[in-house]
Amino acid sequence: MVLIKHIGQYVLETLTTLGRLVIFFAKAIAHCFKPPYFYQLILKQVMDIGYYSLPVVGLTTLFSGMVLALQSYNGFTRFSSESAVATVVALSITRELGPVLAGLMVTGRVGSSIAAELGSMKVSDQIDALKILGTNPFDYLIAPRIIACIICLPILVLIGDIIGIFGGFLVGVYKLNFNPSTYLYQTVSYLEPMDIASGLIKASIFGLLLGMMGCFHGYNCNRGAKGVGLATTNAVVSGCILILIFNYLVTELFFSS
Amino acid sequence: MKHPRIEVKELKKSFNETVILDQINFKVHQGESLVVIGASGSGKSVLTKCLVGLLKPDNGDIFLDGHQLDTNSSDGTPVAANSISYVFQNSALFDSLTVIENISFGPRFLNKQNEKDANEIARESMIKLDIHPKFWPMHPKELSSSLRKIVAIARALAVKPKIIIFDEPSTGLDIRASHKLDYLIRDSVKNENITAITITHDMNSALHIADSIAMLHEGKLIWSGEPSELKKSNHAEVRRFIKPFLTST
Ligand SMILES: Nc1ncnc2c1ncn2[C@@H]1O[C@H](COP(=O)(O)OP(=O)(O)OP(=O)(O)O)[C@@H](O)[C@H]1O
Ligand SMILES: [Mg+2]
Repeated sequence: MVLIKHIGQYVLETLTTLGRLVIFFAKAIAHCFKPPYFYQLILKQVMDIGYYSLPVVGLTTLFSGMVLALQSYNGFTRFSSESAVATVVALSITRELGPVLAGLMVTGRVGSSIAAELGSMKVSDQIDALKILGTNPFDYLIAPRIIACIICLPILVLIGDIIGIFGGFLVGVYKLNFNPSTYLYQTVSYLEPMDIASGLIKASIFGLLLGMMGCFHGYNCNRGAKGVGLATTNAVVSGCILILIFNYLVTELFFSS
Repeated sequence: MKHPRIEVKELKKSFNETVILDQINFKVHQGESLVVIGASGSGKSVLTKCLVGLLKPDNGDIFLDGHQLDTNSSDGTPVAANSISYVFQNSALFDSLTVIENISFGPRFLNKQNEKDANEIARESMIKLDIHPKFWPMHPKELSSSLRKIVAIARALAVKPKIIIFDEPSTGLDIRASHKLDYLIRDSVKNENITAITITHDMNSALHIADSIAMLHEGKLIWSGEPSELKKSNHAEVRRFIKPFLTST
């Protein structure tokens, strides 16, 4: 009996949270398209989210590109098709690794800080104070952050793509002794616009997801000492999981035909 | 007859089955100052948050100037915001904004003034409350907690509200500042016809600023009346609550 009660409670709680999330999502999106817009806040968030994530994303993709070149060279020598290394690096970075790694890293950096910031505002009544002073927190706090995430992620991924391919190039040329111009030629000749575009579209979706999770968990943060910490953890974990799930779904959508 | 500025009927509020407030009824008229007293956890803050629409009562009606407060409006901007100002117990200043930006926020976004006028109003408000200009460009985290409180009061007054709620405004202030605050509340009520609801633990200031006093005990309004009657009350809980004060004077 006790077990059944616990299961029932768990299911109910999960469903309630899911329902709240859906409502929150719809409201947040609606406020992204509805004035008033706080342009300065959007700009500030773009700086916070985009600019300051550059080092993290750059380093991650650089080393991933380098490792990818090494690994694929290792594999491809076994059936003597080393010439495919450049192409494989370019395709995997633009289609998969760039958006996914950037998405996960930015979730760790930004999703958590959004949740912590909104959570502490909630706990210290600042969100209530906003409402009293005639400002809807969805306009003032949530929409700017989500808009900034949607704008920033593709830009970060585009830069990450370039850096990642450059990482592969470095290893290819200086370690594996490829001819630089051949390597570059092989990089571009098989790369189609759709490869890059699909990565950037993914990135926007990931931006939306991670921003939404940060805002949702921060905004619904519980009071008490554990509240904010829990909100940050939940924002990061749920953000990462959603990114991986949607990565599969979007890939399926783009490349299954 | 003129409607009371605030009228509360049969208000009930609970959190997860725990009843916090029950059967609350009271009225406050224009230009009247109501002081709410009661032990910690008796539901004073919850009551005032219901009044401004920040919390949704389970039951009961709230009327502002005879208009029923729409307690169903979901968690966007509260409907009451245009005429009510609220000083939060923990100040709730915006961490990301400076002192002057905090105070001009209301004039700008609630009263829709332009930035220049809003800053002017903020300046007046800060001068009125003796906030030294060196603090104006600082962020809340650089201020002492009592100064944060004063900034929060300045922020609430800057929107020129018809009703203002102070949740323990003088807690943590030194005696001089707290006396000054009592006079400020008194003056606002008398000269500007503001309706004030003040929560306080300080019986001296309660007696000074109140036109009427209401006492909450375990979520019920157990006593209300004029300040002079409070000491004469025979209610056991009231006597217990004011006893430390009576023996100290
Ligand atoms: N958001 C909330 N969720 C659950 N319980 C709450 C919430 N807000 C307040 N409570 C509970 O309601 C009760 C009354 O709280 P309230 O803050 O109104 O007390 P108070 O009279 O203002 O006390 P104090 O003088 O210490 O400020 C407390 O037991 C508190 O735990
Ligand atoms: Mg309180």
